[in-house]
Amino acid sequence: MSVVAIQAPGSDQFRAAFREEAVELLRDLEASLLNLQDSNEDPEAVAGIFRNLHTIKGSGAMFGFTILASFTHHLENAFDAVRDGRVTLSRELIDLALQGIDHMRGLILNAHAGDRRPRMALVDKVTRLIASGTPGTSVVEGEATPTPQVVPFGDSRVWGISFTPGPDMMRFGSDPALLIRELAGMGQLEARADLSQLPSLTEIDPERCYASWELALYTGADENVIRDVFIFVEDLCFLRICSEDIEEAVAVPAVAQTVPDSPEPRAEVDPIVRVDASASPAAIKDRGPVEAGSTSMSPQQAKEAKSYDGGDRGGIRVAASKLDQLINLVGELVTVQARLSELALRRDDNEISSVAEEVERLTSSLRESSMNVRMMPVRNTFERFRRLVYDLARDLSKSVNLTIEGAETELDKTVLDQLSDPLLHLIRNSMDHGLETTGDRLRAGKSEQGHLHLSARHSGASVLIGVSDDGRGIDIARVRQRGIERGLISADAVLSESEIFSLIFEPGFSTAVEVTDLSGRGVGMDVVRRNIEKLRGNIDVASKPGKGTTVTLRIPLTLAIIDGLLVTIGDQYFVLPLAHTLECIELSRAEIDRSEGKQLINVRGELIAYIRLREYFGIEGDLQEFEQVMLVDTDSGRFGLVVDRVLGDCQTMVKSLGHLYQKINELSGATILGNGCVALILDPHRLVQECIRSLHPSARAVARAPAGARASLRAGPGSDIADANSNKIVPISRSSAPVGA
Amino acid sequence: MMMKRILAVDDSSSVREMISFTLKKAGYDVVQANDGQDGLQRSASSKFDLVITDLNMPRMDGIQMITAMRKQQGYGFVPILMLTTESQPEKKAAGRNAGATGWIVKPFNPEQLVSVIQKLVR
Amino acid sequence: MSLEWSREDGVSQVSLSDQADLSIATELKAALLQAFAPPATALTIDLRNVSELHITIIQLVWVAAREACAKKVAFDLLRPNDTDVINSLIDCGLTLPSNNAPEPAQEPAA
Repeated sequence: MSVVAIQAPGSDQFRAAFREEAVELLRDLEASLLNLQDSNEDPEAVAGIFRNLHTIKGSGAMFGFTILASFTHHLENAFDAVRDGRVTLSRELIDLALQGIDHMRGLILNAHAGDRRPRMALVDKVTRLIASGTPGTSVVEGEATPTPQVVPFGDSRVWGISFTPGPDMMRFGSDPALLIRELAGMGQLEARADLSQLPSLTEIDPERCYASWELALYTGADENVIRDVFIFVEDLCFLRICSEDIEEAVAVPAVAQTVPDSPEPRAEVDPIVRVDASASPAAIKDRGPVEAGSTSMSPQQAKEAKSYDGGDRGGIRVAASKLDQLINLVGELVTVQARLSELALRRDDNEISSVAEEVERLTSSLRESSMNVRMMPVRNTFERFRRLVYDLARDLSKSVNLTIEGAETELDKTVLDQLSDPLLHLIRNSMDHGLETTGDRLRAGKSEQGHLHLSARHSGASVLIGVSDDGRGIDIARVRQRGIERGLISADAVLSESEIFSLIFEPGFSTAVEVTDLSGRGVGMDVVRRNIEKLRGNIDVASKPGKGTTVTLRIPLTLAIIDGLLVTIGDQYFVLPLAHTLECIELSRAEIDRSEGKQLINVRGELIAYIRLREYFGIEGDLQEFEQVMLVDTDSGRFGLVVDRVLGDCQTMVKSLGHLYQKINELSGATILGNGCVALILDPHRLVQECIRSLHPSARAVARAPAGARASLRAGPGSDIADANSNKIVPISRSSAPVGA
Repeated sequence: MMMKRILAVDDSSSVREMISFTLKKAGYDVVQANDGQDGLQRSASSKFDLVITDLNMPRMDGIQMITAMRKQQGYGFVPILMLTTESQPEKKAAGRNAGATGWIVKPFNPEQLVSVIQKLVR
Repeated sequence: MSLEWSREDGVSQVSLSDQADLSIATELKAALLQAFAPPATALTIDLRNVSELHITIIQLVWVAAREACAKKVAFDLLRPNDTDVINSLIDCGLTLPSNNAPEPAQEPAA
């Protein structure tokens, strides 16, 4: 290693890079460990785990994470023993390793983190496990370190101490173990003894110390105080003390410290967006020295690490806040560009027009590229739940197999972040209430192992996220009963299944007989709905008694900017999300008159119901001779929305409505147009749902019928659409909603 | 666990008492000796886990005692602490050569004494 | 007595109790040498009742484990029960050999 390389690793830049690398390695480790329990002993996986631990230890030591390195060493030993067949890979070891990973994560993200006690208890268990070769007896945990710890704060740092007693040290009455214990009393100490210099039994001087130590001490004490520990043996040993400045000031934003015992997924671990930056060779080059410097990783290992990671390490990492700023700026630019186009149109100036067009084109690509940067696969979010499921299954003594589908589906980073919590609640709920215990499952004639399925797939401008279990399903009668008890519905209410299921998302609703720590307090599920609604998404629940439950979340791809169609009704502007819009059909007065108020339009032989937005929103103004029917695709099927005029495409930056108007479900936001006018953004799903809700029950039954039944509605004359035809959509007078900030 | 036994050797009774009082309070069993000769006799007749000794003493001084004690059966590795003063750095070296484990500089307070003792015995 | 040992037909047992400190290191080495004298077949080191475990004793236990492996002698270690002893080992980054693992688990310092 060159001199430069020796000096370089201490710098914050490299330390930050190491943190990122290590957090990823830990994520891989966690995934491999969780996979191991599925596939039992897989030599390659064990070797991979060992390699990962080795990398963390080696690089950690190099970049000054001495406590981490020292702790990792013990886990590495364990997996080395598994690799050699000296220790069998037990569930206990996997549990220990998972706890160890939590602890390591704490140490990485917050170099000071980690209470020494749990760490020492872990190390103890791991060493016992290695030593015994089989799962060890349960070991002291709480009382593991009886000596009170004086952990000084303030200007604390990690000291690396090499200590090799000389041959005479003990002849002067000093016991190295006592010195090390004295160090342990000064702060947090990680010790690693090296016994490799032991001679053979015949040659050994039984009264001499052959061991040497590498120590990492995190303490507020200064070097002199540390040297004082060795004051009587200075001349009798080899001693090297060097400080590793551990002060923060790295690019990684402040991160909540993970608590090893918490079953929460580590959603906060990665506040960083990975950017596919093939476009930024300079940035990649910046990372160069780090990789070159980390001698513990051979090129071969590096390659393996890459493929292990699923490929792409050729990216740069950018703080999420920087991206948010970029998106905000692009949003502003979109608005300004709209004004420019508007201006060009009014001036009727060819030169300005062509510049405006150019700006429009560039803005559009810029917007697309920057939105793309924010898109991240749901994989990490999903994979994190493996650990949750593992922990919960253990705590609940249930056997659960988690499968993941569509992990590559991408969502906006902000959306993804806000999805973590609701998913957590849903999974907990499934694990706690949905999936039965092994005994119950067997009695019900089901497979022993419960199945939990997480899925993601695209659907227009939305992503559908599914959480399914094959558990006992939701007891619809009980939910209904509880809904009546809680005053959520009236006793004689006629409700669809899905309406009853949706009661579980009402605040304070809970049917759990037994209140557990995990869920069942009735908190959580209403939070799920609130969070999903904040994302402008919606929730659908399907459940079959004894078969299982599926909760589907429909989440918009992105929150910030949408492609829409600008339409007018009277003098009011609306934006219809383009993603939901299928086509536009002219509707003449004559046709309306011919339909005798049935509000159905024939589209190439298919009858489609339409909603007259003018009436729906109660907008005044003269009727046009020709109106436009916008065909939209919604969860409830295809519908037509009737507007006066379609002005054309527009990219709009979504502004939220003031909270007074947030209850208006049909609107998902508002935007400011180039001419300064406000346009309301329609939410076609909700709009149609609200319409259906205001119909009378029999019509609702038809409209809510499953796809097969709906097909008959579209089948045209002859089938039993008479009933549907007789149902007029009742106009509801609403004042057009003003826009908040 | 058995209480650790400490032999305190000093010709000044007040220092002996102070050492004895402090260490007993810290959980040690303390036996006093008033000079080197007395100290050697006591160490020969029973086993101690640590010896703490003054250097300037009548009859047999501390350094002589340490030299002799190291040769006694069972005292090859027992920690021996000497009491020195700042004005006698050369005594420190002499004590070390004789086999002393460490030193404590007079004047010292009880806390310092206990913390040094804890370096040397559990 | 803090060290007892016995041998019968190549099967040896060395038991340490109370303070397994440096004062018995020489004695322990001697006992171990005898335990490995041919025709040795098995060695048990019993540390269950120690209240203190000195580094020199730990060293000898490791050396014995290694010797046992080299000489194909069955090696069985009965580990300390005292939590203070265990904590002390951990504090010092020390481990005890396993029943069949001959090499010190530690590797040379990086």
